[in-house]
Parts: sequence; C-alpha cells; structure tokens
Amino acid sequence: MAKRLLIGLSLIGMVGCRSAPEHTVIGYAFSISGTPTVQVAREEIAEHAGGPTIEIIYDSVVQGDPADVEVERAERLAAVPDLIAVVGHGGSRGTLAAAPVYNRAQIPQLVPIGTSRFLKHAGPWTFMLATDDSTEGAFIGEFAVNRLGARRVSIFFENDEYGTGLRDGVTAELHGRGVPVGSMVAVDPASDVPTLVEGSLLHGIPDVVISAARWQATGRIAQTMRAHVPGVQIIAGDGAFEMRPLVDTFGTDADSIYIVAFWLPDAPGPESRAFVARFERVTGREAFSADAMSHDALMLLADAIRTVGPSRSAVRRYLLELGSERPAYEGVTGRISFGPHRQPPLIMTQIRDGKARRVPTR
Amino acid sequence: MTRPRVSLSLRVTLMLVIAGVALYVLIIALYLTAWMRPATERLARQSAPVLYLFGELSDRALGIEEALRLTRRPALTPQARVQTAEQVRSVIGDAGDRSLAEAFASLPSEMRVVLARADDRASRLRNTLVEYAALLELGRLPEATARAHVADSLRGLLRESLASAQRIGLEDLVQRERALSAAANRAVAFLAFWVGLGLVLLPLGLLTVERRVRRPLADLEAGLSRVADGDLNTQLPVTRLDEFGRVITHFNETTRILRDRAQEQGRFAAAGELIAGVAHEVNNPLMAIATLATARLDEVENSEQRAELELIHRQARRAGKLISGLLRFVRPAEHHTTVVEVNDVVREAVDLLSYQFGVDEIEVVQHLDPAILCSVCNPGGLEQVLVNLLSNAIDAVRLTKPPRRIVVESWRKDRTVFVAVEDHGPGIDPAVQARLFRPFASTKGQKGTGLGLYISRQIVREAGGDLTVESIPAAGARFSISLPAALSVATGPLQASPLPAGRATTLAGMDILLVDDEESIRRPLAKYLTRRGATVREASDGIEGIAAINDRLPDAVVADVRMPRMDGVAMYHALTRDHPTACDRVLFLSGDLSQLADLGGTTISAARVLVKPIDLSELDARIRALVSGNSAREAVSGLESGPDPR
Repeated sequence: MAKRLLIGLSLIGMVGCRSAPEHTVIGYAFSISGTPTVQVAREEIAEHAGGPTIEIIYDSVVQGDPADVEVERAERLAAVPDLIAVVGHGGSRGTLAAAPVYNRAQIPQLVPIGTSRFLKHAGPWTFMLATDDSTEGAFIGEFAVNRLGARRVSIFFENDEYGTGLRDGVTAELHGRGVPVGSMVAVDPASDVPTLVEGSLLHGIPDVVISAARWQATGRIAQTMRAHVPGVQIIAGDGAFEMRPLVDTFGTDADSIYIVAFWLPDAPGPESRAFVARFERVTGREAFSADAMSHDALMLLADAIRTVGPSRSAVRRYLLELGSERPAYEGVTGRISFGPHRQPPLIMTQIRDGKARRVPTR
Repeated sequence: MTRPRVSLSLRVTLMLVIAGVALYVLIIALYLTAWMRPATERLARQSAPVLYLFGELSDRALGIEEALRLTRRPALTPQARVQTAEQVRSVIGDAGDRSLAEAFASLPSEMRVVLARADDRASRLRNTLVEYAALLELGRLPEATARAHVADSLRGLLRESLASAQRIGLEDLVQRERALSAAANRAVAFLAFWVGLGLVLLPLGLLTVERRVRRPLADLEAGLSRVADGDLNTQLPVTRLDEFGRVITHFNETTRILRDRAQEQGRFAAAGELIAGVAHEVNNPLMAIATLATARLDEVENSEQRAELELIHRQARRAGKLISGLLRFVRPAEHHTTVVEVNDVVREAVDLLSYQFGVDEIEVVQHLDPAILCSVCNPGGLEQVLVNLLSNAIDAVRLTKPPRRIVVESWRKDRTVFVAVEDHGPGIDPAVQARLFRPFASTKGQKGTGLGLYISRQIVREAGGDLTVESIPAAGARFSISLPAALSVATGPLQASPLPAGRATTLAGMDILLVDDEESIRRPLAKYLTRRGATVREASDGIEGIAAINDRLPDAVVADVRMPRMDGVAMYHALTRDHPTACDRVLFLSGDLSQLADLGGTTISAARVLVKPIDLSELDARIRALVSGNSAREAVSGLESGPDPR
C-alpha cells in the first residue's frame, strides 16, 4: 500500500513539475488595421503547436494619432505583464511620440507603415517595416516626371512628421529633375481644403498635384482640383491608402488617383496568396496594404518569440540578425530584414472602378 | 634571527600596485568619459531642441498675432485684399519647418506631447489664416470674415497651449539645470573622493615600493660592495620569502661558498709553500747523493759497484725531477704567455702524476704527434689544465676494475693544436655534463672543489682556445683542449738561453769559487771540479764568498741561492755594486727556480740558475760555457778600451 502511494505521489510530482508553456504577449497599437488583422494573426499563431503561448493584446481604447494619445497608449501597453514586443503605432507623429516609452522600457517596437525618417533614430528598440519618406518621396517624384510628364507640380501636405517628410522627399526629387513646385500648401484634418485648393490655383495651375496627406484631405483635394482643372493628375502617398473610406466617401472623384502602396493582394508568392485567402475568409473583406504590413509585423514577432524564446533582448537580436546571421523573414509583403541595404517594396497603384490597380513605374 | 615573512611575491606585489594605479586612473577616466560626459551631453542635447522649439513657437505666435491684426484691417479694393492676403501669408511663414520636426523627434515623450499640442493648435490657426488669405483673394469676404473670427477664437487656445508648454518647458529646463548641477556636484564629490583615496593610497604604494624594492636593492648593493672589498663574511638578512628573499639567499650562499673556497685556497697555498720548503730541503740531500755518486764513479773500478752508483745517481735524478715538477706546479702560476712545445708540457704533466698512475695500476697511452706542436700560451697554466684533466681521469678510471687505461693524444689540424685526455671510466651523466664547466659543479662531492674544470676552461680560453668534453655514459669521457698553433719553436724566458759556444773544453786551470752552506753538497762538488782540473775555493755563505772574491777574482762563482747570513742573491747584489766584473761570473744553484722571483727586484737571468739536483756533467758544461762567454766579451771589451790595467 505504502509502495503504491509512493509511486502515485511520484507520478503526481513528475506531472506537476512539468513546466507549463510560457505566456507571452505582443502589444498591438495600429488602429489603421485593427481588429481584422488581429483576428487573422491570432488564428495563424494558434495553428503553430509548441513553444510559448503568444497572446495579442490590441489596445483600441482610444482611436487617433495625436501625440498625447499615443504616449498614453504606449504607457498602457508597456505595463502589460509578459509583454515581449509591440506592433505600432499608426502615424509617424504618434509613433515617434510613443517610441521613447518603448525604448526606455527596452521593448522591441515594430512600426508597420510609419515612414518618417526620424523613426530611424528613435532608438535601438524601434524597427521600421516600411521604407522611409525620403525614398517614398523620390519614388513619387520620379513617377510624376517619368510617367506623368509633370511640368508644374503643387504639393499639399499634412503638417506633421509624415506630411512634411514626404513633402521634402518629393521636393528634393523634383528639384533634382528640374521640375518647379508651384504651391506647397499645409492642410490638417479640419482644414477647408476646397478653399485652400482654390487659393493655390490663384498662383498657378499645376498639371500634377501631389498629396502628402491622409485619405480625407487627399479625396477633397482630388475633388476640388478636378472641378477646377480637368485632367490634372493626383498622386498620393501611402497615408491615403485606405481604400474603403476613400472610395466610399468620394466615389468617382477618387477614381484615377495614384496612391503609393507597400503591397497589393495580387502580389505573387505563396505567403501572399495564403494571407489573401485567410484574410477574406476571416474578415469577409479584401486585405489592403496596411493589413498585410501589420500582419507581417505580428507574424514576424511571433516567429521571433518561437525561435529565440520569450525575451525582449533576444527578440531584438533576432530582428537585427535578419538578413545577416539568419535568413531574411519571408513575409506576405516580401523578404524582411533590417540591415542597411534592405529595400522594402514600393508599389504605385491607381484607383480604377473603386479598386487599387498596380501601375508600372517604368 | 628573525624568521623571514611569507608574503606576496614581488612580481605579484608590483603587478597589484600597477593594476591598482591603472584601475584608479581607469575609474576616473571612465567616470568622466563614459558617465559624466554622456550625461552632460544628453542634458545639453535635450535642452537645445526644447529651447529651439520654444523660440520657434514664440516666433510663430508673434507671426500669428501680426496676421490676426492684419485681418482686422479693412481691405476694400481687390488690390488691397490681395495685398493683405500676401501680408498674412508672409507674416505666418511657411508651414512644416523641417528643423522643427527634427527638434520634435529628439524630445522626450512628455515634452513632445505638450509641445505637439501647441504645435497642432498653431498649425490649425495658421491654416485658418491661410484659408482667410485664400478667401480674401477669392473675394469671398463674408467667409473670410468668418474665418478671421475662427482664427481669433483659436488664438485663445493657442495662448493657453503656449502658456502650458512654457510652464512645462520651464519646469523641464529648471529640472535639467538642477540635474546638471547635481551631476556637477556628484562629479566634484566623486573626484574629491578619488583624489582623497589617491592621497591615502599613494604613500601606501610608495611605502610598498620602498620596503619591497628599494630597501632590499640597497641592502643587496651594500652587500655586494662589501664582498667586492673582500669581506667574504658578509651575510644579508632574509626578511621575506619573495624574489628578493631568494636573491639574498643565493647571495648569502654564494658568499659562503666563496669564503669556504677562499679558505680552501688558502690551505692549498699553505700546502704548496710547505711542499716547496720540503722540496728544497729534499733537493739538497738529493744533490749530495747524486754528486757523491757521480764523484765516486770516477774512483770505482768494480763494475758491480759502478752499476750500483749509477743506479743511485739515476734514482736521485729521478727524485729530483719529480720534486722540480712538484715545485713548478705548486708555485703560483706566472701569468705570462710564450711559445710552448705542447708535447713537452704533456710529458711533464704525465711525469708529475706518474706515481699515481703506478699506484692505481693505470696504463697511460700517449699518442703524441711526432711533429713539434707549438702554441702560444701560459705553460704553467697549460700544465695545470693537463694535471687537472689527468687527475679527473684517474678518479674516473679508479671506479673501474683493472686493467685501467688513460689515453693522451696530441695532434695538429690546420692552425689548431689539440690535446685530448680520454679515460675509460663510467662517463659523465648528461645532466651533470650540461653544467660541468660551471663554477662549483663537482661530481666528487666534498672531495672536489668544483673549480678545476671551470678554471681549466678559463685558462684555455684565455689562450684563445677551448676545452670541451664528449661523454658516452658507461664508456668514458674525452676532454679535448684546442689551442691556436704557433709557428716557431718554444723559447721561453725560463728556459736556459744557449750560452756562447765555449772555447774551453775542460775545467783545467780554471779558478772556481763554490759558495754553499751545505757542506754535503759543497764538498763533493769541490772534489768533482778539482778532479776535472779546476782550482776550487769554498765559502759557506755570501759574506765569505765576497771575501774570497775580493781576495782573488775567480773565473766562475757557483753560489747557492738560499744560505744563512747572506744568501746568493744578496751576494750578487753586493757584487753588482762593488765588483761588477764578478757579477758576470756567477752561476746559481737553487732547489726552486721560483725563489728568484720571490726575492724580487733581481735582474738575474734564469739562464744563470742551475736547478738542484744538478747533473755534474751539466755543471761542468755550464761553467765552461760561462767562462768562455765571459772571456770572449772581455776580449772584445779589451780591444775597445785598451789593455787591462791589472
């Protein structure tokens, strides 16, 4: 009897001593593509057996991009137990405001679509997934001149880190190509954009208008410009690539606007195709560029945690080693690494029939 | 005697001192460069954008205020409206200043939030004014007026934001200033602590160096100085068991060995003196025996008796030769070099040890090059080396059973003369062989001094040669001397210079004065010389000898060196002063050639000295040669200076 009791206790002890899988958390602070991306990522992460359990916490309590809001959000996330890394935030200004919080707490921050060049210097724990605004600006400027034959350009920009950064990138490229910039007009979400557009037209008629603003201002600029200058070409930065609200709000006025994207659903590659299928199945809608970028950010961090364990510093090392000590991560949007020679994808699209279509750039 | 203290080794102590100093400097340097400098730079770096942003926001606020003032000014004509619009745009400036954005990027989160809010409101107000200017230009005056009211209402919000930002900014600056001040205070405290610590540790370091390095070095230097002055009783106290302790222990041990060796050398020197004295005393009877035997030979007809007398003469000669060799060996070596016939020196060395060879049943095989092998060296030194090597060989073969054999070889190759002494003893242990030529390396324990081979090699090397050894364990050892070959035959100063060929063929008619205190020598010599036809007078010391010379100048004077009252050399000096002609007629008899050197200041040539026991026929020949030489010189002198007044 005593022997049986001893064996039983030993078995219980052995079972009891087996360590439970470690619980880890990835913070998600990217309201541009919120719940749908999180749903898809959770499903995909759940399909991986073994390793630590990875939970995604989506801080969607406050919507918006103002600096103070994003700092509050960052501080809330940094205080979450078992938090290993964060995906976010939305715009460049908010992301820059939040970055010091994560760097101080030594939490890897993966920025999905922020393009401000200042993010490169935000701290050693902040990683940009997208290209920076100088590269994107050069891409837009080259497209305007080479493909659209721009001779006189007006620039409308949102007066924040995203808008001014993209404006400077475009201006530098146009200046290099000898194309004059007629007007440079600052806008904000509350601006009377039609008035500003009309006022700018008093100082010259552009053949190409470049919008370094979000979708609302971009739609309004396109609407007003086309009313006064038929045939004018509109090019917008990635900040305007929110297809559903843009097309829903501005309808045919949004048609023919060129918009920069980081990814399109027609992208080749098994990862991309699988993501498109899964996204549509889970969310019931088509995936957009920001969805794919934020999905890549989440899955990359999940892969890092599974590979190197639930350690912030190990995850940071993993990210730094991509493309050098370890192979680049094969994401939906392409190969991802953070070395000095990385080239994140940039795609020029045009809205036709309410959809973004890939446009050749050369 | 105090026991030496066990302490850290000197090397470790010095390394600790150096490491301590390096660490001290490193900590201060690290603190200043790695902590203080970045901290102050960070403070400065963070303050600059704050100040810049405040400046920018203030400028923008002023511009906006000016623009708002312009909105209140009536613009009635289209031109006035365009002008006002231009002025408004001009005073509010361009939006999206890049350096402003850059400054924002380097702000801490809290400050960024506050300033971003003010920046947003300023931008909103600015954009409203831009809209106002556009509406003014478009001629939509009511809307422009409405926009001006909006701008006015936003001004309050901007002021509020700016005030808030200024308050936080000032607080931030004050905090930075306090942080900077605190950092400076910490730096001062840190440096004060480390300088204080340095001031405490510096004497400790100096004391350590003083006690562990300088003082032992000074003691050692003083000890060495005393030893150099001849104080071999010098012993230094060993206070620590570190490197200096070990050096001092070695010093004490070396000094002790030197002292022991010096005492030993003193004993050897005394023994040498004793042997020399005994040899001298033995030489005289031997001389008497040999002389008497020779003298009696002329009187004895019986062949058996003649054979016995010849045997007595030969044995006496042999004994005399041995004693000469002994005397030569034990006398202090004269440090002069000359052309030496090496084979002769080898033979003399072998002769010197011939008794030992016989006693120990050792066969000495000599393979000496029949050609004359000459080298320039110190003959006494070379003999000492050979005797030492032969003695070592004797000791080595003694360890084996008879028949025992020692081979001595000499040969010449190119411009080098070689002498080898080979024994068939047990050989030399390789471990011992490596240090065989070092001082005090002995394989004979207490029996050996451990200096023989060391000194031998020094002697040979001083002569430009070398001494080497080859050993095959259990098969013997072979010591080889190499010396630079000389071109001419040996003519050393100690060897008798050939006297001029004598015209006299007998002693007949010669007047010879014998001066010797030993009657047993003097009488047989006188008898022998008389029998050869000479007129012989006798004197028992120098005084009598001078008297006899004064009485009549002899053809030759044969004088003993060592005599009571006035010895031979003193007599010679007296003759030099009072009777110079007689000086050239003196031959000396000596039991020990080196006595002449001992007397000092003499100009007597070694060629004038006959070493006892002397062969009577040699004495006969030397007297004749002397007399003939003098006669020839006097004849030449007479021709040059005219007839002798006598």
